Amino acid sequence: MGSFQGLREFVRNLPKGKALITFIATFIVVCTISILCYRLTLEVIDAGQWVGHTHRVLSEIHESISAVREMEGAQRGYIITGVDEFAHSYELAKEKVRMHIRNLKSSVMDVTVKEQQLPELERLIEARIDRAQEVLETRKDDGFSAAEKQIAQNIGARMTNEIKSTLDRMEDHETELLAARYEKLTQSTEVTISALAILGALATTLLCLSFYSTNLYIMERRRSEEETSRYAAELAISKARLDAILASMGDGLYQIDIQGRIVFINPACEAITGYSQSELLGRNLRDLIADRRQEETGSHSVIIDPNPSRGLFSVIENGGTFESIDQNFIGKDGRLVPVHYVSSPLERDGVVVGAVVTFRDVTMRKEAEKRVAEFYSTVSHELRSPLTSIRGALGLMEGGRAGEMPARAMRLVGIAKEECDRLIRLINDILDIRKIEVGKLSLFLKKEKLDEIIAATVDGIKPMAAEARVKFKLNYVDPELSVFCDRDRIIQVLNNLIGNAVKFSSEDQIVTLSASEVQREVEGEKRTFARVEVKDCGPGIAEDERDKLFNLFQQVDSSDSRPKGGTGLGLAISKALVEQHNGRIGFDSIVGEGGGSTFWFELEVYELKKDLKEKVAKLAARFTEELPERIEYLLDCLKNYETSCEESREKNLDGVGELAASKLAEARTVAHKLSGSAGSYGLAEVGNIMLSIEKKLEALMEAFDPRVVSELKRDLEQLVLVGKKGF
Amino acid sequence: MSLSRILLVDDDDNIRTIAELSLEDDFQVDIASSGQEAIDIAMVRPPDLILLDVMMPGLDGKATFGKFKEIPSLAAIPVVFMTAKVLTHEIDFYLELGAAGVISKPFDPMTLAEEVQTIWAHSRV
Repeated sequence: MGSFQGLREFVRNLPKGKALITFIATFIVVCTISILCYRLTLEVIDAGQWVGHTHRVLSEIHESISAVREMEGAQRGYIITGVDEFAHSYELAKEKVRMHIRNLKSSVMDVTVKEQQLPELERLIEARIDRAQEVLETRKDDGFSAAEKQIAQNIGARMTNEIKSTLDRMEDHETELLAARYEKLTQSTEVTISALAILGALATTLLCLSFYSTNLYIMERRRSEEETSRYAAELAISKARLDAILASMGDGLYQIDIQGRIVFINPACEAITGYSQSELLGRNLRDLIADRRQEETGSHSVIIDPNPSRGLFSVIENGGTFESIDQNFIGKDGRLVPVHYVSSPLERDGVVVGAVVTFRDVTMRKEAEKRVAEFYSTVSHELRSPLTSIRGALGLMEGGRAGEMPARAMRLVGIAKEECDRLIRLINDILDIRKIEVGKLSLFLKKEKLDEIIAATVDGIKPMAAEARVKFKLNYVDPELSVFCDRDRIIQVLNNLIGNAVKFSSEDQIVTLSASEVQREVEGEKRTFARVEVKDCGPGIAEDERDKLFNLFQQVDSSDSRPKGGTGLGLAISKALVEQHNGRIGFDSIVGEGGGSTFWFELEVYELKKDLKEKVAKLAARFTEELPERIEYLLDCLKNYETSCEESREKNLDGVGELAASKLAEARTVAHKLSGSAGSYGLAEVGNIMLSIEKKLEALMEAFDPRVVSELKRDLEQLVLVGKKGF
Repeated sequence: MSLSRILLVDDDDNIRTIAELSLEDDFQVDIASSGQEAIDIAMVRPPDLILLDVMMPGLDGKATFGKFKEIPSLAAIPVVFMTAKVLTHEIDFYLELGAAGVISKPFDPMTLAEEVQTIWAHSRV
């Protein structure tokens, strides 16, 4: 294992890039040179061996010729002298000749010599030996003369000549071979020397290159190491800075992995939650988010959310960020910490690996908000109560319930009553502005006929107009013209506009009301709006007043308008209300007597376009499919709630009551979802029923009331009926 | 049967006085300053109609309403809420809760009796 590690380390540290290429090229060239040198040397050795071999063959041929001569000399000596010593020498020479012929046979490689000349030579030699033997036998047996006669025949001499000429031919042949082999040896040697010189030069060049590249590589590596250590130092500084920021930031921070397990926290997180780092790491954040939260409206009712962590975790799947201002984290010992948190996905190489949740303990802010809400609620109540009494007392005095009063006193009572009414309007307006400013003004949107809204407003404002002796002219309004709006709020807007028109009109002047359809392009799409206009014949609005007309506490020419009873908030509220309806509000004005102003607002017309109709039909069909299942679910929740409530009552069990509350909260979530989707599908009837169910569920959460339960069941039955009608 | 006895519940003395003055010519008016007192009085002298303020310390209007509905002998008495909240959906909420009607504050003392009479007549239908 260790050597494997070492090898991996070695491979990892090998030079890279050009240096590696040069090294490999040098290695290949050196290997090639070595192989070539080896092969060339082999060729030279081979050629040398062949030369040596030819020399040996030539030597054998010479030896053979000498041996034949020696044999002839010994034979001649014996024939002349008859001394046995010559006979013995002859025998020795004969064997020598045979030995050389055998040597030749074994050493000669040439095919022609081996297959033709050598057998011939052997035959000639044997024939010559036989003849010599024959002459020697004759000398021995019949004496010198007889032998001389045989010699005189010259047979032996001819044979010897043939042998010699054969050996000469062989010698010539071998000499030719020797010359050829010498030439080959010379060539091989020259090639080898040339190749060695060239390859040596090449190898030297490559070695130089390799040295250069390696040197470059080492320098580069040193530089890179220096850079790496510089980066490491910078990284360490950056990490230290980041650690310091994380340690000193006031907001808590959780880093979670994709499953929700906590992998990092900062000291603020420990301080806020009360947990230590070791207690938190590895725990799932889902377990640390409370399912109870305060209702957004600032009331004290508590909502039980069956899945409180879904928003926080949604960023892991869907990206984006998620922010919550009304949830509680669970601190140590089960303490609930109200937090404002932002959850963002944590990405590494483009892949989401978890999320980062930064949060702030908003206990103080919540308390402050609660105090402000309570303050407004108290102010509203505390101001209204005495006003109710004052208004009531003045009303009773004016109505004569306090007895007969002089005319002057009656006039004063009238003024007091009027101012009292103005104060009430001001309080209402201030509360509206407060709601608008904190974004808690909810609209209850329904399909409303515009002519009915206008008629209702005019009815309400007629006494005021009569008092000011201003006349109304109501232009024809198409009874089919409908808008999707909060009736009360649009009446409030109209009241403000008509009220202003009346206030700025002189006696017997006419305020004209009209409503019509207008087309306008919004985001490249042509849309139809209902435009409501309130036209007066007043003095008009001066140029320099126009910009601030819709600002808070703004009144045109206050010296003139204050006696008319304005609060200075009406137009600001109207603008906010119309804009909350996604509408527009504005005015056109001509300055000068009788010029007049036209205040208008536009709301999108409630109409179903053809494609929209199809879309709604499709969605309604889906809704119809979902509805029975949802109703069943709601009924089920209700049944569980009833049972749990009964049990908790009988046994006085708190836990059961909580179970009931959680069931109800689930039901409320479903109802809320349904009413929302019904609203967006334009299924007003279903939406309304669902809204009523929601409200009843809310009432049930506050106090168990069997009557509400039975009403809820009636609602659900109604829903079934609506569902059967197919909307 | 005509409307003759009204139980007026409000924690504010002055409002109680104004309302009483507004109603006393036409009806017998019992006065209670809290939810609990209202229940106690109603148990002794059941009214024909209850005028109930919504915002009260202790038992508020809604809770008092719940208590009335829990007592069988009082459950059928029509209850009219008096509230400063006058938006339609809030009025709807009380009506859906089972109130006979809602009168917004500040009310007109000269028409209060008439208004109460109308609501009572509707609740009998």
